[in-house]
Amino acid sequence: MKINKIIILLLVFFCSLNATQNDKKIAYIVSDLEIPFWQIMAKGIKEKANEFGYEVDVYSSKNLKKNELENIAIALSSKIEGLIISPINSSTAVTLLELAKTKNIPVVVADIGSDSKDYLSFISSDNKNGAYELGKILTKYMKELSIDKDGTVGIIAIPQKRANGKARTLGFVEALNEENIKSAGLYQQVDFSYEETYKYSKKLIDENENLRAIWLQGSDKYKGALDAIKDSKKEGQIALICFDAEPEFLEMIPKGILIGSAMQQPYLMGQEAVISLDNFFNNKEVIKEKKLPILAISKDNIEEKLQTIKLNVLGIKD
Amino acid sequence: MKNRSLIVSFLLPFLITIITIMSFYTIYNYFETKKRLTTDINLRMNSISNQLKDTLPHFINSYAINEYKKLIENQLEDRNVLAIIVKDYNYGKIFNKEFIESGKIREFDKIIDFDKKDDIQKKLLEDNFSYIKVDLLDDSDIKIAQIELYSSAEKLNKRLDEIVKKSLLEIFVLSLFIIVLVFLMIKSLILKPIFDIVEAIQNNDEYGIPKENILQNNVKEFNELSLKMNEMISTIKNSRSRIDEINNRLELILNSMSDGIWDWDLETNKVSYSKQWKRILGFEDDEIDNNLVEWEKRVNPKQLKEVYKDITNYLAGKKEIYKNEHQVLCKDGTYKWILDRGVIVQRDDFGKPLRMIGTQTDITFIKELEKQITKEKDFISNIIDNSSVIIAVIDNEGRMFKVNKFAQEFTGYSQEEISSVPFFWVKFLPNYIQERIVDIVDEAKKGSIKRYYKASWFSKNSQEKIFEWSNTLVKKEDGSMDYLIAIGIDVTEKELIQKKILQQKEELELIFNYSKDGIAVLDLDTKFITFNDSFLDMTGFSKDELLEKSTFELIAKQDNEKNKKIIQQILEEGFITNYEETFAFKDKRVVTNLSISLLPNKQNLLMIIKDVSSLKILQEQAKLASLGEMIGNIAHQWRQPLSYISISASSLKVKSEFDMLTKEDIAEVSSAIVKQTEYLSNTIDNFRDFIKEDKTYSEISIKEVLDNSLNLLYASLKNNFINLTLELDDDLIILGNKNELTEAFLNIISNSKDALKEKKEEDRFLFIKSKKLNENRLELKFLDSGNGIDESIISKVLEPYFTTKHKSQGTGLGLAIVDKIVRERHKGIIEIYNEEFIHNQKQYKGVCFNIVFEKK
Repeated sequence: MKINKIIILLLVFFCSLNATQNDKKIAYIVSDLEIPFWQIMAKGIKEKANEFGYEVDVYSSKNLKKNELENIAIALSSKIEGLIISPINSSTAVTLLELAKTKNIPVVVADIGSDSKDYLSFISSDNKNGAYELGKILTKYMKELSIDKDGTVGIIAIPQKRANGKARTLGFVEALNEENIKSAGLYQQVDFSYEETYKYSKKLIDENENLRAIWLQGSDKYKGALDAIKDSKKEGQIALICFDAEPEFLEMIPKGILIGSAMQQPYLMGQEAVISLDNFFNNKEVIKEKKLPILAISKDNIEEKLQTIKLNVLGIKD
Repeated sequence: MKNRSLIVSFLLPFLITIITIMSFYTIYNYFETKKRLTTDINLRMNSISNQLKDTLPHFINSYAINEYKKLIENQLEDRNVLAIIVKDYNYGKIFNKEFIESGKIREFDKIIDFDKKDDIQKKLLEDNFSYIKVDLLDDSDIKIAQIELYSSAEKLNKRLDEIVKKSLLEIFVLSLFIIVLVFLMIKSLILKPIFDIVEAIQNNDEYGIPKENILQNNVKEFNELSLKMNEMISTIKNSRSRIDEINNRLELILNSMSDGIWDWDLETNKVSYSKQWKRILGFEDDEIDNNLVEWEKRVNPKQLKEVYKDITNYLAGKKEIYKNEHQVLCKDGTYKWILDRGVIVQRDDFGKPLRMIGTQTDITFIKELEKQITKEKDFISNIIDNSSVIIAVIDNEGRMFKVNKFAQEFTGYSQEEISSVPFFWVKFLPNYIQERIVDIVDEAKKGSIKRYYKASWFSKNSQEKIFEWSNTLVKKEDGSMDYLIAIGIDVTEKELIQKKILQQKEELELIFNYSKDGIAVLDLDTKFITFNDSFLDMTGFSKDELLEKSTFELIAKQDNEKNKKIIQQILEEGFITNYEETFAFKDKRVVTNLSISLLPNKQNLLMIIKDVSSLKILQEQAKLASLGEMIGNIAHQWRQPLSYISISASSLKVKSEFDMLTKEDIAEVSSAIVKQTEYLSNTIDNFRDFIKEDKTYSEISIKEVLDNSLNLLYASLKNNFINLTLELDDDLIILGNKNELTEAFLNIISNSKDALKEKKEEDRFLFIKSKKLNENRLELKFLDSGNGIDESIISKVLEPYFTTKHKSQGTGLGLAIVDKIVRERHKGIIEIYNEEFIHNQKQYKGVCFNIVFEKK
């Protein structure tokens, strides 16, 4: 009897030891899980957390600040040991970081950014370089068609108040300047709707006779731009080039409907966020700000990068 | 009384006024500003609360916490706001709290998050300046938040501090400005004119009078002052100019005086020396300071004590005037004689001397002159006293008031004795003058006196000396006698000599006229100028005939050259004696021995001529006598060898008669005979050599010549039992005539032989000794034991015809020939004297011929 008790106690002890090592709970508060980008990132987080044996609670704020605050209240009360946030914006990130700090919870900011630097690590994409590489794809295309001399490029940008928006514009314009290709104008998106995309595309086409390409700094409302080109009867005359990726891009690029796209790697970003926390837990060096490369894809390299795109961009595992 | 600067005097009230006004202004400004700022703060706080009331609900409702925090932070940019705290009820609900408090606070110039647990923040809030609390309601009037606004007095205090600081700065700047302004004004309006005046006054000449007029300026009062001062300066300048003029005149007078002036302040010992004073000592005006030491250190230290003694005596009233002659050191290191004179020119109330002025006269020249005069006087006195001349000065009363040392010594009376009584000196004069002295003096008083005459003076002990007198009469202005200077040159010796000369002249005339020797005076061409009767008689010419002739005309022409040389020799050496010459007089030839001397006038020759024709005959006789004696000697020498030959031949004859004659005997006898005949032949050679008239000179050995002479005399000496002792170790080769010298030696030895013949045979000694005196001189001594010669006639034995012998024995020429041969022909020295000596322990006396030959 005594021996049995001792054995049971030893088992419980070992079990508890095992549980202490792997039972760490982390939370991921994301602005809107309905957006595929965040979904792919959440997938990367979950899979890497599972790999390390961490429990992950994912909270979607559905783009509402109140939800985001409630999510963090819940997360903080659920005894998490680490937090990954993809905040609604860099301003709300400040409040989240402040609240997490009251409980001494390490926070990794995955994309979007923060107005406060009070985080463990910030994982983001190298927007400027990605946009520059994308610009090179477009200039190459225009030179091949000999429309680089007279042709202009219109830009429909995400808000330039955002750091990523600014970086994208800078990188892209740098590539155009290198080939002396002129910009036809820039419209900033406000509500990111189809209508808004169509309207700005139409305006660029109507206002610029020599417009030969439209760069859309987003990906999901590409149809607005395509429709505007089509309605202006400029199909084949005005090319479209995007930022980020949609699954259908894998077909559109080879077909030439889309000249190219700069693709962030949300899956990889999610994984890097978990690796940062794991390094922290294990007292390893944590890189404060880490910029992951953006894949500039055109029909010339899509074949070659397809597997990377599927996994890191689209989160698709074969 | 303490002097205070004009600037300070002006500035101080200005500054006090400014600071007071500015202080009042600052205090007023301070409170006004404080009041205004308080109102501003309150207004600002109300404004902020209203703004927040409008804007914050939107952010609160949208849970934009970071945004409203930013808004609050923006409001805190206003430095009046200390803190804004929001109590968010919505936010609180999410975390199940009534509200969550957040906000911003300014802590040490930094805007930070509000933390209600922070004690410092609590303290800051408690120290707030004002506080507003506002409730925020939503559209349904539900309280969603409460705002608390705290204002800070920091800005207010800072502003007030700034005001104080600014005011202080303003006071400082304004004060500075006013100081500068006042300074510049005072400087330009007051100080500059004053400084101009001071500068003009300071730019003064050596008398302190401004050189330039004071400049005019813009300030009226100073202008008037300047004008008045310029008038004053002008007046002073004019006065100064007049003083300078007087001074210049004075200086000119002083300079022309060539005396230096000194002015001694006895109280301070400050002494002013005039330029001339310094110039006398060789100094420039600026090289000597105005103090007593400058003079004192230059006075000859040996005289300084005496100088001060004179000064002290004068200052003490013991002397009428200060006057001293002393030496003062000049710049060039020499001393000058100075006549220093001074008088007291100022005394105090008690009569104590305060100031003394005096002159310095350079009397170096006078001193030098005095010295020179003294020296000259001494020199003349010495000459007068030490010369063998009587110098005497007689006044018109007949008193010889000055008489020199020589005169005193000669007369045996002192100057005092001579000058004590008028006409004391008359006793020195011969009687015949004494008798006339009154007349002479009377004549002299009238100015008439015999200037040169010869007269004797007699000394105290009647010694007479003859003097040549030279009298000089010094007259008074009226032509009468002032005094008489009599100079008498002692001519006693001269008189005696003249007498003697006269006597000698008479004697010489007597000799000249009555001498048996011919005496003639010739000119340098040997022409006869005068001659005595003896000479006239000797020549056979008449006086007139002889005066037409010269000596050269009377001698053989072939001797002319020789005689010219002799004349030359006479001119060089002054005389020639014992010269033999044969004259061809009017009707006879006369052999003469003559002496010619150059007379002192160097123009005439005195010839003394002696007819020695008869003497020559005697000499020939003497020679023949010598030959006779020589033959006698030969006979002596030949006797023995002839006897030997005869005996040898007889011996051979005897041996032959007895048939004992051998060949050896013949050989022995014949060789002996040959040897003897050789000897005889040599004797003949010697004899022949002697009689041969060989006058040539060659190098001859004295010893060899003596040996030859002895050979000739050997037999004679032996026959007369004369002991001959020879010590002829030394020899000398001289240039001479062998025959002559042989004749001389033969004569000496013969003379001794003749003397020795009178002595006993055992006392007949002759010593001949040769001794080298040095490399070139040989002494040959002939000493006999023939009793010597009477000392009274010993000096005459070398004279011709002098003989002590019997007539049959000598001609009186032998030793004269020796003298001639040795001294004249061979330039030797011959000395004859008696010598006493001991030989073989016996005392002897004899004649010693000591001849010294010299190799020339």
